[in-house]
Amino acid sequence: MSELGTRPLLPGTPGLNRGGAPGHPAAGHAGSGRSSAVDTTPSDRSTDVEGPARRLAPTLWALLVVVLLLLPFLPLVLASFSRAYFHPQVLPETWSLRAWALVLAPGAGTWAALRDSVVVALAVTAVSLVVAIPAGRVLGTRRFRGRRAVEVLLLLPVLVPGIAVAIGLHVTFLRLGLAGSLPGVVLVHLVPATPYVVLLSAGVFANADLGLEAQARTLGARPWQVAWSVTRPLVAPGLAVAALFGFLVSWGQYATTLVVGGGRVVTLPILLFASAAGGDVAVTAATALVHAAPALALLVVTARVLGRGTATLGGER
Amino acid sequence: MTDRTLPAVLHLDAVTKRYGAVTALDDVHLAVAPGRISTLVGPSGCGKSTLLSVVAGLTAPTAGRVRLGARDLTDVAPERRGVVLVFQEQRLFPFLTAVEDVAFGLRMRGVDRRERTRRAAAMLERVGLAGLEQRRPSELSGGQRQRVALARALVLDPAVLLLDEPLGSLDPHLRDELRDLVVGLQRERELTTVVVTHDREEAVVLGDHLAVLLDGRLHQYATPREVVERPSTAAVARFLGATELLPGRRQGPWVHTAIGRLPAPAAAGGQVEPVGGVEVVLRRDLLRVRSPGSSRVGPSHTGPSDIGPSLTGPSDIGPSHTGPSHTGPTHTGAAAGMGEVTGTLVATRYLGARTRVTVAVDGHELTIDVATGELEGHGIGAPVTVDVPAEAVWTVPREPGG
Repeated sequence: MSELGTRPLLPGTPGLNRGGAPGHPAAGHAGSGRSSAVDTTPSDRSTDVEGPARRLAPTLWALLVVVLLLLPFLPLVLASFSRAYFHPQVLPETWSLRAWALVLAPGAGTWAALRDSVVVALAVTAVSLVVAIPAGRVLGTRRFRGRRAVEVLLLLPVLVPGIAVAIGLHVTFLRLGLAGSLPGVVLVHLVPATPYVVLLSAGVFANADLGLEAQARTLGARPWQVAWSVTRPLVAPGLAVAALFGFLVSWGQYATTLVVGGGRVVTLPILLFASAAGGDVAVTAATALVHAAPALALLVVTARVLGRGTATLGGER
Repeated sequence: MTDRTLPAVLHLDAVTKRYGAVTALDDVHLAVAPGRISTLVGPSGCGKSTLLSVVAGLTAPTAGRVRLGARDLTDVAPERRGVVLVFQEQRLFPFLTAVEDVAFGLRMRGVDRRERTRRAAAMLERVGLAGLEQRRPSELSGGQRQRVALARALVLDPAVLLLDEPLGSLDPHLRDELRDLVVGLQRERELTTVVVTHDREEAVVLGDHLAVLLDGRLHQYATPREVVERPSTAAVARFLGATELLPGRRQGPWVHTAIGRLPAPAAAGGQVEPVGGVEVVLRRDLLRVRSPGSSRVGPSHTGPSDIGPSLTGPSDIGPSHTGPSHTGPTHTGAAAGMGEVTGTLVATRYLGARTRVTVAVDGHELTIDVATGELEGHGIGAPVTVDVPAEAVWTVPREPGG
């Protein structure tokens, strides 16, 4: 756990680019399994077999990872287009757009929930970055007494269940008039989101060559020019990953939103649990997809942008 | 950037830098020769890089001032000093191409894109990197990166250029090439340049002037020849490779030491015998070794002070002549002549054209470099005579407690 302070949670930004599932456990077995298969191949044929196999293997694994990532969504998609879909059946008995029509109807509340989710998640991302950039820089680059203690302290909100935090804060928020408001929800989301963003940011700064800032100064750059022309391009890709984490942590919050929002702030997870409690499988499935799609899209876009970024940012070509 | 007709002198006045209990720079006074290369040499951790950082403005001195001509730079921000520091690790921007990197400083000054690109490309060509303008640092070799770093500094036409171990990370064959480039670029511009190195040989070859920094103190700042031949302190002599320092007393044209009476340094006319005596530094390349009783080896290298064997008294071994401390100006340059001591050959080491021999004289070991072949026929344990011409002798003040 304490390693989190000095190392990014992701294995560097290029990792995101490799098929969308960094550090997937299957990837480890991939190499060893293939090489043992090659070892048993007769040596005269091994070159013929190995060539295409080696070239195809990464593509196949990427495909597998995507399938594993997307497969759980298949039942949801099927369910969302069903009218009647009962247990032993593989495919729905009757197809229908009813659920989607309900969910996407202008007055359905989905749009408002989507808007609130986005607003809250963006606010959480922004505020956590404001905290995380200076804090991460200090944690990642300075050696000071009590650094370990600060790191453990930062992780505590992640370890404590969100609902416990939310119930505890609720009383205070009621007194402050924050309960049931968007700012209140943003504040309670910051509790689990900020630690991730700060620790990721610390890793980004620990890995950045900040000696370049001193170099830029002696080449005639003023402090603000250094920040914009040197520090920003150095840390932007890593901070984008940190921001993505902050966004996704907020995006997935249910219990904290429910307690502090008190039913007046309806984000997508709140809507999702409400429809699940209502028992309409098709509507629940459609709502779940509306909730999952933006997060997935964001993940893919970030991975692509960063992949392109790191390719031009040095590294290999 | 500044008026080029008379490069300003870079002054360090009583510069001290402490990090807690550690003193990195201790009361350093230095007036850097304008328009020349000064090398700053010392073992690692002696404060060389701290000194560069203080001059560049990246480190604030604990005490003292940094001046460039009449301008006090001490409180001036690094980007306004006209001083560019090139770090050992080159520190190229990973997100810029070579030409963009060289143009970086011009961009910060608001030079428009076309003009800065033109000047950057011209400078890249000057350092021999034409055609590599679009490369990223990861696509350049160590030597090429060092050239980009140099070009990036020079394109700004700085008043003072500071280079921290510019050749440190390069292969030997690249070092010579880059050293010539650095010297060439410096000469073209008559740029006041300070080069930090831990390599004694490099410091001597590269610098018009040589500053020796030991434990945060500036011991000597002079021409390389002066530093090598006339070190100011025992520490400098030791750092530059003297292996044996002999305590001695000056008396007239002689220095009396444990191994005998040696001629006082001919060039040290004005030297004052310091209280507490001197230590004698012997230049290992100017000592000669021969069989006892044989005539002196032809000293083609020696100067006018070598005036034949007739002036030399009999070999005088032992500290019997230790006279009273002689203070006040000593005799001016009258040729003191030649001393000789006898001892035993205890070791030889073949170095190619030269052979390094160790001669034990009264329990002291003298290290002497002779031409290979000169000692043909002398085995280990053979008695030998060592000729000590005056120019091989130099004295430094004895270190307190030494």
